[in-house]
Amino acid sequence: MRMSEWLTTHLEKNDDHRNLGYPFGFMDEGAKREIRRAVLKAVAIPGYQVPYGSREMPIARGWGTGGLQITLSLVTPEDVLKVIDQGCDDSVNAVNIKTFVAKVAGIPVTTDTVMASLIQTRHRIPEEPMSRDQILVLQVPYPEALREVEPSEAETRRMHAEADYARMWLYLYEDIVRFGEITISYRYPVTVNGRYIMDPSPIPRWDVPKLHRAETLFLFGAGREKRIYAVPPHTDVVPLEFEDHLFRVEDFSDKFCARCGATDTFLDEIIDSENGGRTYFCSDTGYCAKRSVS
Amino acid sequence: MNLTLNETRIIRDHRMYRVILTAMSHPGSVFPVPELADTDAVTDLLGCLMDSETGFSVIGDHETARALSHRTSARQVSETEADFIIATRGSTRGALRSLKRGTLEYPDQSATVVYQVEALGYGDLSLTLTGPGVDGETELQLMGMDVNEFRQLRDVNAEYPLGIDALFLDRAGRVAAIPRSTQTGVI
Repeated sequence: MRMSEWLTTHLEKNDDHRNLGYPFGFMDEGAKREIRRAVLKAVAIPGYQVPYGSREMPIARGWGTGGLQITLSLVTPEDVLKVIDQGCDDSVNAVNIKTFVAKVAGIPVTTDTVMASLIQTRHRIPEEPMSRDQILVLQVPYPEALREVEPSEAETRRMHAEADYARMWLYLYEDIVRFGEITISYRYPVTVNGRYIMDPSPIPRWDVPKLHRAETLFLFGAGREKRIYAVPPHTDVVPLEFEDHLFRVEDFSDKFCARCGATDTFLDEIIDSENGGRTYFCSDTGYCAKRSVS
Repeated sequence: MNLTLNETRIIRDHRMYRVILTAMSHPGSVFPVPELADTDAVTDLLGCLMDSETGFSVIGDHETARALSHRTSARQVSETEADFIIATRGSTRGALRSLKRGTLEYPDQSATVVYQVEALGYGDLSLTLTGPGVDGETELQLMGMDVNEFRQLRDVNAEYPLGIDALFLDRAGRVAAIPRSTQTGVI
């Protein structure tokens, strides 16, 4: 049975996770405990990738299973859940994950960042600042920030162990020599707590400063690559930059959201196929909807 | 709500873990744990983390070792191999230096020490904490932990990212944490 079918049948039939034939939180307890231990070590060593035994989930690897496993291991009956996919609450993947977790934990969902206690996300950090009582779980496709410069896992592990990041810096330098600036648009490498270089997941540059000394705990789960890492609150997260080539975020000056009028959010560009005209909309749909109403 | 015993335990594990995770991400802050029974507090607390995949060692009260084995199926191992060390009287009696601190390749393969102390939030030992999870600087007061034990903890965490992460549980069922990433001082 497909997950979408399963969800539809059970959503209509029952309103209670206990009647689904699955325990609270879906996964077996051994899996949850292993993930919990990995997350605790990840928090204690900010930016370091903890290996763990990623489990089979009812969605395919590469579709958010790393984030899903973290979410399921720490969800409580008191949580209010929000799930977004590239800022959007209503994309198929986000809705499926949201319905699934809500179902197996028996918890309410929301699209409002402020109302949520637990947010799982793919490739965006919400525009509204999050508090110390919230947790953001990020889905990660490629956890290794050094993979671009070194294909061997054994070698990148050695590089992290020795904080030998010369080749990463060289890569950025060569980028500048060739193109006049650092061309990485998403997965922008950062240094966490002055020690580990970390892949912040494919968030745009726009979101990178939100990781720096935040109020919130950020947990990163890579299900396919079997890695978990974390950025605790109030932790230094510094994008790699050179004195004469400073890190900068995307430039949206003179542009605004065609729906809510926002000039201070990350915008998606929509090209009209008829006349080639460009319009812009907020990538964070929950925030945009909230602004449009008020 | 009409939950089975197993369901009740599963949900309680989720709630316990959430408090431990919150404590670990906010070093030095003290958090009450819901539903923690007075007698088996440490057993209840660690049920969400320990199972047959983990090795543990108890320093102090042997009754706790029995209870933990029974509750979690975790293996009793020597202190030097243990993933979890439970110091039932707030002291590892000098064993701290021989515990697993991980390797530079795998610093996560290191011990977590759970100190059972008299009280958190007040007491005769005052610590200052800075580092990830702490906004500027914070203070943690404890009762029932020797200052020498704390100095040893600071010593074994001098070679970051190698180190040992500490959890504290007091008699009132409250927890606090000092992960290895925290820089500490005695006032």
